[in-house]
Amino acid sequence: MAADGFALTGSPWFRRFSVQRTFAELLGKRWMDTLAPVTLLAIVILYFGASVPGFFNGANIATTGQILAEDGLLALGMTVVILGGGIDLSVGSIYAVANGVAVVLFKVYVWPVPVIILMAIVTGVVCGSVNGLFISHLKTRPFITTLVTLLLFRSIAVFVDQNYSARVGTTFRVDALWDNLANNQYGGFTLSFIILLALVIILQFIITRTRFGWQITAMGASRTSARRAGMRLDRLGFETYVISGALAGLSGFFVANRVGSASQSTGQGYEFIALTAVIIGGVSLTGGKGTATRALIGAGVVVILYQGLLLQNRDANIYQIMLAVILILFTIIDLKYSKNLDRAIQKIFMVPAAIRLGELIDVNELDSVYRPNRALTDAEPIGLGLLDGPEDVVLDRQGRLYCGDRRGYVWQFSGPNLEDGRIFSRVGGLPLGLGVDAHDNIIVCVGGMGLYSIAPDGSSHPLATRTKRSKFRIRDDSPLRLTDDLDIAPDGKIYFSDASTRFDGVEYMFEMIEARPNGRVLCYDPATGDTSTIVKNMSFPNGICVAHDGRSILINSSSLYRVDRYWLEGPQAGSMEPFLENLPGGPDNINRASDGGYWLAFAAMRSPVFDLAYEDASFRLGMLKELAQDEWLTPNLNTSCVIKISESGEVVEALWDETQRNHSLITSMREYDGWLYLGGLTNNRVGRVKLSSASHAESKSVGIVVGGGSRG
Amino acid sequence: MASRTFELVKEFLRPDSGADRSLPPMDGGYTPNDDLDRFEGLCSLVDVQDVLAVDHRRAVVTAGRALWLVDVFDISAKCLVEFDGQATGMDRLGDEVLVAVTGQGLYAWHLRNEALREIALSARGPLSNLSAVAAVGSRIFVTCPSAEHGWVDWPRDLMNKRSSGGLFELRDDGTMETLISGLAWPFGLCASPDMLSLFYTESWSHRLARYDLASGTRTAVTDRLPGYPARVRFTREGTLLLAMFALRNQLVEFVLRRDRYRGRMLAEIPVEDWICPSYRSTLSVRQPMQLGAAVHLGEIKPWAPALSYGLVAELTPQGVALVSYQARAGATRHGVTSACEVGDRLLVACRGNDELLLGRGVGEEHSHDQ
Repeated sequence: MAADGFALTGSPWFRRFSVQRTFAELLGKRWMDTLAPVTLLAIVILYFGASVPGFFNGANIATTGQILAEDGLLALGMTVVILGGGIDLSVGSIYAVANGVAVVLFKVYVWPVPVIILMAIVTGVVCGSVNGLFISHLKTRPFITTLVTLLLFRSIAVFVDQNYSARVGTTFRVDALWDNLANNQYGGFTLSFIILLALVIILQFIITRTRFGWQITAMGASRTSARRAGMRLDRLGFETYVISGALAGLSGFFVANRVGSASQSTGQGYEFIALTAVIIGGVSLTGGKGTATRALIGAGVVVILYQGLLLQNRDANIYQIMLAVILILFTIIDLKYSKNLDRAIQKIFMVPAAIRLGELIDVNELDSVYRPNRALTDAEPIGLGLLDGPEDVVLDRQGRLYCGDRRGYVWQFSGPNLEDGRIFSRVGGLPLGLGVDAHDNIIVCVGGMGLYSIAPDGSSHPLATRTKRSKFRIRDDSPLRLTDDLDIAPDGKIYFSDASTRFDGVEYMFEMIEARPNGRVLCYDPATGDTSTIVKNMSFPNGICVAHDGRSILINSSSLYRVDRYWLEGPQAGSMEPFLENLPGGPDNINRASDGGYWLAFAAMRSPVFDLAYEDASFRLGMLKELAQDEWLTPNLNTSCVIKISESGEVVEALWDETQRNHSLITSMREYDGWLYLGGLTNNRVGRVKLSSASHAESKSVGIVVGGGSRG
Repeated sequence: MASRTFELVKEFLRPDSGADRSLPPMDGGYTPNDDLDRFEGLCSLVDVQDVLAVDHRRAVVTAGRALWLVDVFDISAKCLVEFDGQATGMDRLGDEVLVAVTGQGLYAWHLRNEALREIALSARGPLSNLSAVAAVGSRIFVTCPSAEHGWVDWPRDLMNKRSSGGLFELRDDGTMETLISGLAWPFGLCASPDMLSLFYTESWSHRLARYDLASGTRTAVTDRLPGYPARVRFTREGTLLLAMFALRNQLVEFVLRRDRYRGRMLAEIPVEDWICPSYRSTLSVRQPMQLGAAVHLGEIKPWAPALSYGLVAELTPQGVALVSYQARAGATRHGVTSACEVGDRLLVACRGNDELLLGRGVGEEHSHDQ
């Protein structure tokens, strides 16, 4: 059970939840796209269920299912074509042709029923192939082509009807399988409806889980990209029309089976019904968005509306008018929704919290222990001109220095004065906190990637890039987005911070402005390879340091300006207690000092106006919306302050480069062999200053006393 | 609250109806450069306020409580007289230099006789709080920046969005006639070369305006200046030299729109830590910072948002900028309040750096890359 850092914010319990943030996270879910169609379906069902007596009785449900099967198959075919970026207006006519073929073959030629099913599908496939041939191979426009074939197939259906209607009308044939298909119910539904459901499941699988489905989606989303990715667009497009034709053919068989007659008006205007169903379901007309279930939902709305109005004995035109209204409405919704969704999420994603901090100490006062000075101004530069943003530094057993770089490198500096620099590993991401494990591997927290280990030969491999997803979180928080700092305990466990579950590597400034408990502290166990959360809901956890006795870890919170101790063992194991509170700056990294104390670097210093903005959440929200990022009010980032803390949590001294010339920002420091090494996220160098006290003459690096080896 | 909601709805339905929150771009004559940094530092004068040419090589300067005479040829400065208050604006009246002194009134220093004369003194009223003075013939005009806040309380006047300053004529009998009231911190004042009108600046409304002496009407020459204007003077060529002590800043404008936050800031935070334009950076770690001003690889980007800036612009009388000399973010020659021609050289009062700067001459210093 992980400790909870929420209480540290000092906010009331209900601040854990934010309606706005929940809404933003919900909008980010793909399945939210179907919210409107599902709502509409529910409304339609409830309305007719309440207003039409007997709407829910068995016979009506079976009939509705039967009609839904026919319309649903057309909608499914239409979905596949639209998903691939085309359109098929001829589905109604193909349906009519297949219907005619099935009726004639059954009644006039008395073919066996399974062959008739096959022939109906084959009829659809042939018709679909004609569409596909023209559109995909001769590159004609889908809209005009299928409009033409709509008329062509329609005339074929009329031809069949005119030639055979007399004989069909006078012939009567009884076939067990035929009747069985039309009338027998399985669990209240006819076989046709069950076949529809099966096809929906199959197509859903094909569209979302197979290469073929992905390629169709890709083609619909961007033909150019799909072609450049090497997809055979002509073949893919042809196949979508064949599938659409086949499904229309099957649908034609079902209507032949149900009605048993062919007429000239069969399937007239069905392309409109199928199109409406598809658009209601949320299949985007521009292509590349849609699934089989959406088509089913849309078809459900259309069919239930039809059946309900029929049972209410309304005029048939009412149905057409309602379809038209819904079609227009959903076309607009489709357009506006997909266009503005990302922007809407962006606008409401960040919800700054109101944080009331303790009174700000004036560091400029003469007797303040924090008073700015020039102790670090003349620090010896290392890697000047090579480095861009070494956030953390660490030294190994041989005294070689390692540091990160904003460009995704980890550098190694060796030689008597650390003058030989080389890129040790190109790990990628934003390398932040560093550590050296017992096997001389460099462990690095890579912002945007996770916890990585770099072997002495420079090869890197991930230790932890995700952890178990929290329950009751809408947004997936399993990836490690902003791993920040780490320390290694005597037993080899790696404790590290993930500063944010909402923002990635370079977006730490958003986290600073939002100031919500979005981070967590994790533990990686090399024995099992498992990563578990030990402190959740922590506000910007940054520096991590195992205490000298190895019994607790210290956790810096950069947005609450405090340091807390988390007990690993002892009676308070698993709980936190305050170590330092109300600091004048945002603590970044914390490391052990040789005299039993700790070094701590400030990433930013508080200013009275930023403290006030911290209390006024609406001010920060307005700032996020109205000002460009460069214009945002931040705490003072041009600072360079390192403080020394005793084991009991007393600030002993502060070291500054108040000129801000050489070290405009110090985010980390490491004591080694009498020197203090300084890293900074925006600096062009690592600095080092000789420490004056003599207490560190014996041990080279500052390890942990209990079972501690030589660690950085 | 209801009106704010209504505003939001209106802005959502008709995006064009929203308030214009844009700041004037720094283009044309305001194209950023570092020319002010290339100027020669003439001498250091604490709290320098105004400069006024006396002849082709000498100028008088107000700094702190004193009036100085500087020579741009042999680079010398001599203190002429010390007052009991802050010396602010100046103008020539014959052989005399009119000097406005806060808390006191108006003095005249005779250049040849080296004698001080009292023109009008008062410890109260607008006369005790003068920002600038201009003489037209024998008529004397003065500006009072604010009826509520004194000369050094200007941040409070700005952040309270006050406009209670005025333009006055000082009559011979010592009384003041109000010509215009309700000005937002009138800072600079000068007479046009034809002596028919007065040009004055209003800092808080970023405006340069003209007052017609004959008709008594005022017209805005430009009210979309990119910064907060300070003093204004004519050159021999008939153009205007306008100094700006800070640029308009998106964050400051935002704070000016946020009444609750601004109210608390004014009440709870010492003035030097406010989000407010300033003459100089205090270098304190407690001062407000904007993200773009973060030092990266040892450098601050020159276009970083800053609360202080140095700018002297040469404008046509119609308010079009021809050239400008600037000190950008990261530089120190900020808070420029006044500039004048001395011979063929340009003398600039840089209050932020407590320094007098000397440029080669109007229109010549400006360096172009091509």
